[in-house]
Amino acid sequence: MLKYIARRLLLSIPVIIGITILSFIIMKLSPGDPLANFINPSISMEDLEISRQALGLNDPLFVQYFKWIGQVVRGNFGYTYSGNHSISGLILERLPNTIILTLSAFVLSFVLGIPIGVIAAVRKNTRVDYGLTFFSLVGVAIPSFFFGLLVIYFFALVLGLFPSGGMINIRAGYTGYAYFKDVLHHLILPAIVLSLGNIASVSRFTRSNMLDVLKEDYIRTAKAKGLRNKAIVYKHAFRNALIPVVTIFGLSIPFLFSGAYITESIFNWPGMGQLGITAIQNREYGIIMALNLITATLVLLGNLTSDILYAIVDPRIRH
Amino acid sequence: MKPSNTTPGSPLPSNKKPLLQVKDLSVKFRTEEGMFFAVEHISFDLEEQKTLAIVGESGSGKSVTSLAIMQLLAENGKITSGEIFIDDEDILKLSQRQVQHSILGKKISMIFQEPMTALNPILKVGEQIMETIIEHQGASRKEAYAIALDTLKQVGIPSPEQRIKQYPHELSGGMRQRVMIAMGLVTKPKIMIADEPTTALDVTIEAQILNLLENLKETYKTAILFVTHDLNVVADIADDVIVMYCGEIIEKGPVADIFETPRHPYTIGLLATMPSLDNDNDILPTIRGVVPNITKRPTGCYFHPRCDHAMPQCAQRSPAVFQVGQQAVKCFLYEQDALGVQDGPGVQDGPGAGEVNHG
Repeated sequence: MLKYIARRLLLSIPVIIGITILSFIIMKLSPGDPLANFINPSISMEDLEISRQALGLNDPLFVQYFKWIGQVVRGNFGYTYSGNHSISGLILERLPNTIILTLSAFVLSFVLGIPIGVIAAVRKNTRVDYGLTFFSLVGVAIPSFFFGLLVIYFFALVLGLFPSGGMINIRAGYTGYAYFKDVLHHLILPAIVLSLGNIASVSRFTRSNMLDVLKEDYIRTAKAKGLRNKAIVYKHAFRNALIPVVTIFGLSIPFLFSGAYITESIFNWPGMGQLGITAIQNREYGIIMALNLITATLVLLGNLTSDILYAIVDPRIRH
Repeated sequence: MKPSNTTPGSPLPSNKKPLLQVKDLSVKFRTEEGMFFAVEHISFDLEEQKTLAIVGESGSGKSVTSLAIMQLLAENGKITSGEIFIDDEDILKLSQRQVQHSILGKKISMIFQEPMTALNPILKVGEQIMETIIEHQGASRKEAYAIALDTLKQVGIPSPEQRIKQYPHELSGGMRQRVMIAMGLVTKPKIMIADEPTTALDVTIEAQILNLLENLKETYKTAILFVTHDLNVVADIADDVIVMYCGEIIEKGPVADIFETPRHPYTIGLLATMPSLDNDNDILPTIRGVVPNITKRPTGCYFHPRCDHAMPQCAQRSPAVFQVGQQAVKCFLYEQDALGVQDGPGVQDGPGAGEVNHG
């Protein structure tokens, strides 16, 4: 098992290198100029050319790439064009916030999605099933920016149950447990909005897997043994139905992570999404590439997690 | 093809009380074209330590009959009439919970055809055997483990201490079927249904499994309902035989009588298709035509379009069941015979005629 994980990790290295090259090239091919923001009538073309030269933007592409990657492997993502802030610093400042939001949404999608799917499958073609199916379809179909606004309108403005945005009540200056409670209070709405689509797809996936498994011969065997319905559904069917669901465990990490861009913007959540959107608007190549790299690494880790979990739940793969 | 393990003429309706009694069982299936009978008016008794074989082609309703007894019919199947008595209790009148609690796995168990798909791939075989014991006998895990280990030994699994910790995919086909049998045996049920338990296995393993079943029947005094399409297996293992065609029992009797003097033209045809060593024919005889689809059954006797002895009345109404010696036959040829007037012409003309000898 450890050997398997080590081998998978080693195999990821060339993939990551490939990703860095691709994201670098795409960045360079995309239109726009990082210096466009600074253009004003008092700056001459010569001065712009000097800054361009100083920032290394005129170097050959491969030189630029190796300069960049050389820094990245040392954990330094470079500095922003405007203000000369450390990109690593900017990211580290916001990464924990995004992780809090993404992780909550992740937990929500499976804690709610899996039971919803199981209930729908066990109650197949009943009103309960139809109701849950309707909920899932709405959940998949509704765009998060729209759902986010609806939620803010009803729960924050009309009912006043939750704050409409932000992560903490800055004026209150909470510490300790009160701080935690305050963050949680701010977290609930964005986490629900971010996880809605995922809850819906996890529940649909679980439902169809459960239905497939319930038709299997070994379920008939379990019934023939006179086991209780509970044992048939949870011990025999559910565990088998969970095997494919585990695959989307890993895959939904990058999905939620990128979904956080939009949710963070709606709820003014101080995470990487906000940082990314500003970076794209200002052509801050360094930040965008750093975010690309982090997201790609998450995809790889997500896949690896899926495979490892797969091996844990399915004895046929373990060998 | 003479079976040697039974005495011809042994009395079929014995004084023993049947363990399993099926009375007038009918099952309908819902299809896109409407509701159709999968089996009709099935009745039979199964006594202690006896093996009753249900023989028929695919679609004859033999598996549906066994699944109906276990109440494991697919969603679109429904028992429309009949009674199923186990220990004088009509199990069709019990609730689902009662059937699970006191019948299935306890008084009656079932062995399935494909031991690979019939075992749960992600549970160790020990766990799959133990859960039945824990459920029905309220045993502790430790006790259940000991019983499971002992049962694995009984079904001839080598080094059971290792096997009990393995997953189904780590075992060979024959071993898996032994595990299935151990699972069915572990609570010592009085009745065992074996639905083509050897069809998925190769011939040498098949013989081993059949021997095992035979021995276990002696040891545990189990009654076995053996569903198969393989007449050689029937000759090997059965005491009594039921021949099914299109969801009906068309002939029923002791195995020796059925094999020596088959009465129904279908049974005669079926036995003629058995390859045998003393037959010089290069071409195996076949029954002309095919089994009609469940939705397109003919009128009258279901077999008449394929029957060489069909009479005008065969197409009009379904024959009654006539008793000829030890055998019950659903065929007009024996209408007179049953009254003691004459022999059925089917027997004289049929391929089995050489062996016919009526007393």
